[in-house]
Amino acid sequence: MKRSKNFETKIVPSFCLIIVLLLNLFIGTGCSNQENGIVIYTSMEEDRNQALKEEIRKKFPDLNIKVQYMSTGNSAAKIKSEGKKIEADIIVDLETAHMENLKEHFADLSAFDTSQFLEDVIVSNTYYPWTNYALSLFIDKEYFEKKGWDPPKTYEDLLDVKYKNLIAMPDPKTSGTGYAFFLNVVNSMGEEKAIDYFKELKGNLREFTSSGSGPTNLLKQGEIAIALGMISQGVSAINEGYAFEIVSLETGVPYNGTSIGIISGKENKEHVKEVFEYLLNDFNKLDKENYLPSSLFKEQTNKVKNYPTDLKYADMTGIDDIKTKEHLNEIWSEING
Amino acid sequence: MANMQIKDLTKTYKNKVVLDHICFTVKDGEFLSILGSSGCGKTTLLRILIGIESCDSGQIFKDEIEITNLDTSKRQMGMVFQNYALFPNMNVLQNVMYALQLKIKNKEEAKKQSLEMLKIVHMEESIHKYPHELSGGQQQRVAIARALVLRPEVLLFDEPMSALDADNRLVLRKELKQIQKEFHTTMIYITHDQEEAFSLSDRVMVMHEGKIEQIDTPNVVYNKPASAYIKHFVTEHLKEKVSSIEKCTGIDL
Amino acid sequence: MMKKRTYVRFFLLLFLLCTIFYPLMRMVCKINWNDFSKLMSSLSFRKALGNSVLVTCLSTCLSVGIAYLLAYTIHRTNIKHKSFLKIVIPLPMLIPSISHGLGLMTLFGANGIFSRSLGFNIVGFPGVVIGSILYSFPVAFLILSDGFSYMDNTMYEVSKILGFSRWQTFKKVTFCYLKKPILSAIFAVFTLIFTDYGVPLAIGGKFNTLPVYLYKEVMGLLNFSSGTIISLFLLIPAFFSFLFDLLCKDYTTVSQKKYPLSKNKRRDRILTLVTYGILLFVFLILGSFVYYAFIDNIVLHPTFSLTHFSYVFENHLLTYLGNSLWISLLVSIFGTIISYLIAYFTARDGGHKGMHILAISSLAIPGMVLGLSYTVSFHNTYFYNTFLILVIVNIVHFMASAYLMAYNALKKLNSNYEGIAKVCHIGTIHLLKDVLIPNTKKTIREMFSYFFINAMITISAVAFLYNTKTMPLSILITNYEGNLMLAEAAIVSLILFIVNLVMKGIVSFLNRKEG
Repeated sequence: MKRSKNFETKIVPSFCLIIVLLLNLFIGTGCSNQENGIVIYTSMEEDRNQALKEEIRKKFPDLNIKVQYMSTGNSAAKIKSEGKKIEADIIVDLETAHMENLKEHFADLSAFDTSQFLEDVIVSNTYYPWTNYALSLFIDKEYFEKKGWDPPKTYEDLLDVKYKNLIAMPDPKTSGTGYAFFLNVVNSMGEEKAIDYFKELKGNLREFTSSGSGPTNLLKQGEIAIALGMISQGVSAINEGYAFEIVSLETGVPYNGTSIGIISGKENKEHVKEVFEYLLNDFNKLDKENYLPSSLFKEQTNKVKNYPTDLKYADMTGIDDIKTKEHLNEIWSEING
Repeated sequence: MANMQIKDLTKTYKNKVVLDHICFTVKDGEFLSILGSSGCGKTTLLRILIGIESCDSGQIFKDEIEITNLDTSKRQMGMVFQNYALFPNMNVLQNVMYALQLKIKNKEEAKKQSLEMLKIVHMEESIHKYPHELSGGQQQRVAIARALVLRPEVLLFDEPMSALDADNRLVLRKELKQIQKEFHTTMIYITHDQEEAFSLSDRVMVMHEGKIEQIDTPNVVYNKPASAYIKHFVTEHLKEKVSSIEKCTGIDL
Repeated sequence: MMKKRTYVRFFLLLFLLCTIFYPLMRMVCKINWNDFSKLMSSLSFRKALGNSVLVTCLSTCLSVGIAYLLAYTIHRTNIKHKSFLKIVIPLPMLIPSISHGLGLMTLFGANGIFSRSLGFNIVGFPGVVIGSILYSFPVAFLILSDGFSYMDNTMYEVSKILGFSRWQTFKKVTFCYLKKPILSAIFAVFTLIFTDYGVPLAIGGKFNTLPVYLYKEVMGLLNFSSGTIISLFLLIPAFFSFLFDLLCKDYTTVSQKKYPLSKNKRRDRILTLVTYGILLFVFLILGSFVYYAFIDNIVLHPTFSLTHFSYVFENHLLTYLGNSLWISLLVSIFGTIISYLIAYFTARDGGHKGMHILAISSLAIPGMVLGLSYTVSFHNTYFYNTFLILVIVNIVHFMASAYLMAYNALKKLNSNYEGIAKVCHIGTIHLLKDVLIPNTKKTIREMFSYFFINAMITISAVAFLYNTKTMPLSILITNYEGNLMLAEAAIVSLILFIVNLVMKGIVSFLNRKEG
């Protein structure tokens, strides 16, 4: 009797413990999902995300705000598949073409104050502008000097066999940066020639990186000698001390745009409006002045050293059009599956 | 002690008839040996009697009450296995005490009874030893004590001594006989050793290919074998043993 | 007691069906067969498939070869410090495969520490081969080592008496017993490498393999349709290896006889060199992690610094570590209980072929495929973004091996215990608690640590199922890799290694104490 009694008195509390644990799993995270956390998905690069995290912490020390990096393609796909059930509340730095395409999942932002912005940058009321970033080639100056090479000037120059495995480009399917390059090539060469070009370029590449900052990071590591990436990243690397050089392509500077928005339904969640307000005006300005110069605000000073002025922009027709994007994505499947 | 009646027991396993309409009785306090070569169905019969396996048809009675479909735990029967099956993580005393303790729910009483039983099987010096520290014969004694401590009315043995050497077997046989005298437990004992069956039992039941060839006292089976099989398997074998002893000793047995 | 047992058995069967059978079926049903032909006609897909097959075949041969060499050295030579080696050789299994790839990159990438002076790098095909060998040879080693230790060594004495030559002895005795372990090792390693995306992601460059292809399609674009089709291809080798294991005869025995080691100093010296050479290479990778973790910037200012540590800690490392520990503990506890109970029903309680096959079937399902099937089947349900789904997917992913451990251990126990329990009216719970469990304590501890370590380092199964609140530490490595933050990835790998080492150490210590 004693022994089984003991056993019984051990079974019942352990059973209860197990139930409690299970409930914790179910309800614990479920509740916190809805109640006190704000989740921000951002497609920015690491240093800008760090700045975002720090500034948010400073401004809202008592709020539980999670900033999660998600590549542009991934972010768009999640919004498309999960819709309003997505865990994110605010989406930052998503490619404008995607924002336009997914606008039914985004909330109306007309109530927010946009007086600080320039006249013609606001084109929609479900998303507001975040960046307009310019792209370029960067080369490892020391490596080129050692080899006695001249820097490449055109896309065609990149096909030179001496650059084999020394070039990296972001994957157009997952990265807005990569997509902008792709579109630019298509616009300058025509679709057919562009397909042949990229098929040939693929053989010369080290890899297609999934994130836009991949090539620049590889260049920093010394793994490659030519990167295709955002000018702001290249400039910041130069300012850090890396011996890079920005190479302007003869066809002009490709660019792409990103935007910010709130997932439909989440605008009424506690604190989302204040956080969004802060991001839209204050952090937005900070970001543009210190990291990624693009003219969005009426009063804006460029604090980034060595950022090139007088950029000659390339032909980016269709950059914000989702139909073009879908069509080009299909074409890309021919090149890289 | 109890008597048993087995009526028309049949068991087929994978298209082979293991037990073919077995009918026999066991008297109160009797020592019945079931003798037969491997594969004749003895172990299956035992397992059906105790309820670990079920039969296809037939009836089993104990003290005139039908127990064919009764749960094993309610049959008041015990069993000693061939490979002893002592619990390796418990010492001798704990092995014997364990089931009794669960049954009567009194640790002290269970301990007391177990110690008594271990005395009877001459294992009281080794109560703190673990099975792996014991010899085969000692383990078997503990297994017998474990079965007996629950006071079964019928005790079944599944070739308990087949893994022991001749010496140990003789000693244990003697002790088993004494235990039976003391507790008056009905015992059903499986073996393929003719000598063992004949020396221990009140009656011997010879099985062959799922059927009972003969069931009678050892004397009758030896002198009047009921079939050619028994004559060959049992009688001839024993006769040869006797003649070889006569040869060695020069004594006419 | 009877009724309770039936309920438990029913519940376990239901659990297996819901967590293994149902999601896979759901996934297969969702396949759009039009996309199938589209995928097959895609050049990149075919190239990825071809690459996968090539790399896996080559890596498997080399990996099993190295493992055999090491197992032979441990069991058939007089090399010193065998127990030390037995502990050290499986250590690479304590970190995720992607960490091995990243380590290789830091040493032998285009700008790696060694490749700078060597003049060549291993990015691409060679890197994937070497990386794949690094994390798979310990698995093969364990299987082969087991094979060597369970051979019936009396057969060697017999062959000596019969006058067999060494080659004949090898052919007729050693190979006969080692056939199954060798083939088991080959299949296990093949499946592991074929379905891994960590190494190719880190050091593959543009050498695309099937799992990376699937990863990019699903993670990058949530293209479930092509993801599910690719999963079918990934299931094939796993399925065959599973069938093989099921049907193959097992000659292992528990022989007490020790193999008479022959004296051969030259052989011993050579093999000692080879063994330590291999281990040196492996631990060089771990060393590179330590190096990278403490250096400020390899290119610009390679000075000692703790900035990467502070970065990682500021970025919620402890939260993610907490998540991982929480998940792994739950997986260990419930996984061990569930696997053990299922093993009880299949090994001792009359057997249950359906449950047995279901339980070991998860061996046939690569982590990515499992994770994907859960995403597809459960993404509209309540428990999709919770810890619960991560715990369940991990339990199912690793159940097969743990279950087999319990199954084999329970089968080895005396078969008459249940008979005695029935006769002496000992309830099932008591039998489990007082007899079966105490006699399989070593195995239970091994199961626990197996679940724990693998749940800590797994990436493939959870990649599609986590969100910001539940993200485990291992995923952090993938995120850092994506941004080429090698130092941070190194720090996380080190932390995982240390945690797993501690767990392994505790279990080994407890098991050794028992003797």
